[in-house]
Amino acid sequence: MTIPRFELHVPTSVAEASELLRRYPGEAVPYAGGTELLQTMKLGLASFEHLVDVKRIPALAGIAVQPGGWLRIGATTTHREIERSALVGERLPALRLLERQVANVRVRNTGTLGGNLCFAEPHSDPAAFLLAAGARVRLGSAEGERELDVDAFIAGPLFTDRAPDELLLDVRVPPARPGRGHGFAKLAFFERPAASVACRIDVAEGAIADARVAVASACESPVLLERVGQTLVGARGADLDDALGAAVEAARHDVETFDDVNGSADYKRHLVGLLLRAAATSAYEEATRA
Amino acid sequence: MNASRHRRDETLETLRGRDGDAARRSPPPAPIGLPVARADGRAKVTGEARYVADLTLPGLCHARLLRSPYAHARVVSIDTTAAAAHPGVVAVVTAADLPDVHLVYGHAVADHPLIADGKVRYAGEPVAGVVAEDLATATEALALIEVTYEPLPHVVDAAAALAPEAPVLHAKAGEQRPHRGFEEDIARAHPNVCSRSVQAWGDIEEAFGRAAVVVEGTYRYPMAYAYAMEPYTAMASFEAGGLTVWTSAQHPYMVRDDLARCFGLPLSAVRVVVPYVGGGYGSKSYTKIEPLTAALALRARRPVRLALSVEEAILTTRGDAATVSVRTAFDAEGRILGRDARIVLNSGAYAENSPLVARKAANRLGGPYRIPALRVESLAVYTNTAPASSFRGFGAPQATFAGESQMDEAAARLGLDALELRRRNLLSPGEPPWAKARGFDADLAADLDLAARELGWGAAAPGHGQAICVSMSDAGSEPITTAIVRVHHDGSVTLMCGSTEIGQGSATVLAQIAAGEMGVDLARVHFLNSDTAAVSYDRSTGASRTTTLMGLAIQAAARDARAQLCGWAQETLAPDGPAVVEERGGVRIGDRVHDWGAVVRAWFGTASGEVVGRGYLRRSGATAEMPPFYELGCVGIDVSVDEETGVIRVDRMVTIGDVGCAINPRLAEAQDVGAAIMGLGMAMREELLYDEAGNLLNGNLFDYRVPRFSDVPEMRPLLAERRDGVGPYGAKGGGEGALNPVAAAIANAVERAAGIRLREAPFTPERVWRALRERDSR
Ligand SMILES: Cc1cc2nc3c(=O)[nH]c(=O)nc-3n(C[C@H](O)[C@H](O)[C@H](O)COP(=O)(O)OP(=O)(O)OC[C@H]3O[C@@H](n4cnc5c(N)ncnc54)[C@H](O)[C@@H]3O)c2cc1C
Repeated sequence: MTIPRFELHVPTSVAEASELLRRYPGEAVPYAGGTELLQTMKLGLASFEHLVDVKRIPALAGIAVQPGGWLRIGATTTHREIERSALVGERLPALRLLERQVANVRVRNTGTLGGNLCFAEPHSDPAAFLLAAGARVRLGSAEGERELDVDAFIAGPLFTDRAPDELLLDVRVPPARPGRGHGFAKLAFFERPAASVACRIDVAEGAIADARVAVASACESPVLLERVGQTLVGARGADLDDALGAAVEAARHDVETFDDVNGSADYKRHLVGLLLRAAATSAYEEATRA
Repeated sequence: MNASRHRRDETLETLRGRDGDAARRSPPPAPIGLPVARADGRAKVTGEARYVADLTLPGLCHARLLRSPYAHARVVSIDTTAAAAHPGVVAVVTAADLPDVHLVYGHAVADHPLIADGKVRYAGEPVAGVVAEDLATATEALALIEVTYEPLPHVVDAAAALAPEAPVLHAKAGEQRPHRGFEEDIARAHPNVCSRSVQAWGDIEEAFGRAAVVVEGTYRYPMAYAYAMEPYTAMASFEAGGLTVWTSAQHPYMVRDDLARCFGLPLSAVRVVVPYVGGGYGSKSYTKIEPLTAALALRARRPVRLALSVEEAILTTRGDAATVSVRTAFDAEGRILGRDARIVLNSGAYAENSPLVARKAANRLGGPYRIPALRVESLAVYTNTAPASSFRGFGAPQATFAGESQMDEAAARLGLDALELRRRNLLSPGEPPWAKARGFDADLAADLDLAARELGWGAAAPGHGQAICVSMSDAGSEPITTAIVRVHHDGSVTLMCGSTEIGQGSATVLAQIAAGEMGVDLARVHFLNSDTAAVSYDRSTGASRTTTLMGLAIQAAARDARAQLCGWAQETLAPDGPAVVEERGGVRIGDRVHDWGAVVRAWFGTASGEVVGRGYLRRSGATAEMPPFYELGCVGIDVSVDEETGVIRVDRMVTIGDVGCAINPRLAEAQDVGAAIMGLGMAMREELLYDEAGNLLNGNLFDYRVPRFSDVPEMRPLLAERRDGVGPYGAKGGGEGALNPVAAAIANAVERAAGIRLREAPFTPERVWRALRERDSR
C-alpha cells in the first residue's frame, strides 16, 4: 500500500481553509486525523492532490459548555479527548462510555469526532448517539456559517450535506437536565461495530414523556427510528417492560438491516432489539436517578 | 516470571519418580533449561532490529505489482508502453519479458508461474510488475498498464471444483518435485485434484460391522490467514555473476534452490539472506515473492525491493480450508475400533505446500490413539482462490477439530467421562501409531491429568462448560541439517546455523544449547543465522523442528569442536602426558586447568586461530526413524455462552507443553500461549470469505480480525518435561501443539455449556445464535 503523492496545506483559519478547498475543486479535501482519509487513499479508493489540514484551526477545537447549557464539542476533538473529558463524563456519561469503546486506542488518539461524522461511515457510534441526543452541527466556510440537525447533515452512506469548501466546525448537544437520560449499547465482532443503538429518554411525572432511538452499523446509514421512540412514550415503572418489548418489536420491524461479515440481516435485526433494550434501560435509569 | 518458574517446578514435582533413568533426569548444563531473556528482545523493542524493508542498496529501485481482477481468465494482451514511458519508471515486466527465466516453481508440485503466464487463476494474481525510482511512481505506472482479459468460468468452492463439469485450473499436471514429502503420485482422477494422500490400515468394514456406537459428522475448518506483522518483503540484486536475495523467509535454503532453478544458476551463486523476520507461522515457509523480485531486478538491471502490503500478503498465501467427513466406531467399552474419513482441502490456485498439508492431515486425523482400522483419504483441491500453503499446525488443526469433536460426541453416547474415554484409547509411550513409525514419545495420559487438575475438571461453574482435547502431529519434517560451532582464541564462540529466528526464540535457545555444550558464558556466544553464503545447510524452520533437530546438530558440532580441542591440548600442552581430561569449559592437565581459548592459542602458537566444529544430522542413528518426534497438544478450556447474542466467552485456557525438556521454559510457554491464541482466532472469528465472483471479501485487517489482547482469556501454560524426546536432553518440538486442539475444545465445552454441537468453525455469534434457536425449537 502506497499513498499517492499530495501537497499538505496547514491553514489556521476557517476562511483560509475554505479558500484552499475552493482553489482546487475536486482535488482538495479536509484532513483531520487521517484515520479514514489516508486509508482510503492508500487503498486507491480516492485520490486527492491537496490535503487541507484542519487541526491548526482554533475555531474547530475544544470542549465547552455554552450559555443555555449546550455542550459544544469542536470538530477536531479526538475520541480520546472526549473519552477523557471531565465535562463529558459529568454531563453525558453515555457518550464517554461510547467513546471508550470506539475502535482501538491508536485510532481514538488520532481520529476526531468531526472526521467520524464527515466521513459518514455507516458504522458510526457517535452518529447514533448524536441523532438520539438531538444534536446540531455547525458548518463554516469563507461565506459564513450555518447550523443544522445531525439528521439532516448525515445524508446517506458516506454522504453528508456539506459543500466541498465547507468545514464542520463543531457539534452541539442539547442541555442535560433533570429527568433526561442517555443510553448506548453496541456489539462489535471485528474492527467496525456490528450494531449500535443509542437512546435518549425524558421522564416527566414518573412517565416517559419523550424517547428518541437511533441505530447505526446494522443499517445502511445511521438512522433515527421515530416510531420506535413513540412506543415508549407514556410508559412508567410497572409497564416499562411491556413498552420495551413493544419497542424491541418495532425496532426489529423498522430497521433495514443487511448481510455482511458480521452476520445476516436477520441476525442483526435480532441484535438491534437486544441493544435497544439495553440502551433504553440505561437511559431510563439515568433519567429517573434522583 | 517467578510464578511460571514455580509452576514448572511443580510440574516436575508431579512427574518425579515416574519411569525413566536418573541420568536423563540430571539437570542439563546451564544455561540450558533456564528462562534467560530473548537474545533479540532489546533490538526488537528499541527499533534497532532491521527487517528487509529497512535495508537498502546503492541504486535500489522499488516495485509494485498489477494484480488480476478476475478469478479465472485468459490474458489476451498486455500493453505496457505507456507505463514504460512514464517518467521515473525503470522497467515494466510481464511473463513475455522473461524468456530466459524458468517461470514455474514449486517445491512439491511445480505449477506456479512467478508471474501470470497467459492465464490468471485467482483474483489478485500478479500479472505485471513495475520497477521505478520510487514507490509512488511505480504505483502511478500501474494504472497505465492495459490488460485485456477473456474471463473463464471459475470455481471457488472445493466440493464444486470436484464436480465433473467444473472449470479446470491446470490443463496439465504440474511436475512432481523432490520436496513434496509424500510418496503417492497425483491421481488425476479429476484435473482439479492437486494431490491425494491415503493413510489406511486394518479392516474398516469389519470394525464398523461390530461397533456398539458409531459417531458420524462433517466438520468445517475455515480458510484462514496466518497474520504476521511483517508482510512478505524481498530485495534482489544480481552482481558478480550471482544473485543475492534478502527476504523474510523461513526456509532460506529452499528458496535458494528454487531461485537457482528459475535463473539457471549453480547453488553456490545464489545467496539468500534473512535478516530479522516479523513473524512467520508457516506463511513464510518455502518460496513466495523471491523469484518475482529477482526477475524484476534482472530486467531492471538494478537492485529491486518488493514490499507487499498486508492486503497483498493475504492474496499471496493462506491456510487450507478443510471439510472433514468422518465416522468413528467404538465398542461398548469405548475402545476405538475404526475411523473412516475423507478430507477435502480448498488449496487455492497453486499447489504450494498443500500436498504436504493434505498428507499430514491424513496422518494426524487418527490423533494420539490406538486405532485398529483406519482409512483416510485426503485431497488437496485446486480452486480459483489465493494459494494455500503451510500454516502453523499443518493439517492438524483441521483434522483435530473433527477427531476430537467426535471423542466427546462418542463419550456422551457411551455415557463415559470424556477424559476416561480418551485414556482408554491413548497410545502408550513407545507404541507406534502406525506401522514403521517411531514409537510414541510422550505420556499423554499424564498430560491429561495435569490439564484436568489445572482446569478443575468436573467443577465448572453454573452456565459454564469445560473440555480438554489432545492432538498428535508427526513432526520435525526431515532430520537434515548442519551446524558449525567456532571457538575463537579468546574462548568465545560463534554459532552458525541455517535456522531462521521468526520470533519463536531460536536465536536464544540455540545459543543456550551451544553455551551449555561448550561450557562457556551465554554472553560469549554469538549467533549467525540464515545466510546461505555464510552459514551451512538447514532444511527448514518449520514443523517445530529447530530446537530438536538443529539442537542435535549443534550438540554434534560442539562435540566435534571439543574433541578437536582435547586432541590439540594433548598434542601441544602435554605431548608426553599426563592424559588430558575434559572439563566444563576446557581441559585439565594434571592440576592445571586450561580453557578452550588457551588451547586454541597453544595449538596455533600465538594469540590467533580458531577451531571449527561441524555437526551433521541425517536419517541415521537416533534420527533414523520417522517421524523424528511427535508434537503433542493438550488444551483445556472453560467457556460460557451468551444465550441472547450467541457470543462465546472463553474464560480460561490451560495448555500443557509436552516438550520433553524446555531449553528455555519462558519461551516454551510463550510459544504455547501464542499458539493457543492463534487457535482461538480461527475457532472464533477468522475466516477469509469469497463472493461468487471469486473476489476476496474481507482481505484486510478491518474485516478479518485476529485476536486482540482483549479477546485473550486467562491463560495457564504448564510444561511437562519427561525428557522423552529425541532432541538435546530429551527435548522435542513445541509451538504448534497448543493450537491444534483449540477449536474442538471450544466446540466440546460449548456443548456442555449450552447443549449445542458446533461443527463449523469459526463459531461466529450468528452460527451460535442459530444453533441455540434450533436447540430451542427441538
Ligand atoms: C480500525 C478502525 C476502527 C474503527 N472503529 C470504529 C468504531 O468502533 N466506532 C466508530 O464510530 N468509528 C470507528 N472508526 C471510525 C473512526 O472513528 C474514524 O476513523 C475517525 O473518527 C475519523 O476521524 P479522522 O480525524 O481520522 O478523520 P479523517 O480521516 O481525517 O477524515 C475523514 C473524512 O472527514 C473529512 N473531514 C475531517 N474533518 C473534517 C472537518 N472538520 N470538516 C469537514 N470535513 C472533515 C475528511 O475530508 C475525510 O473525508 C474506526 C476506524 C478505524 C480506522
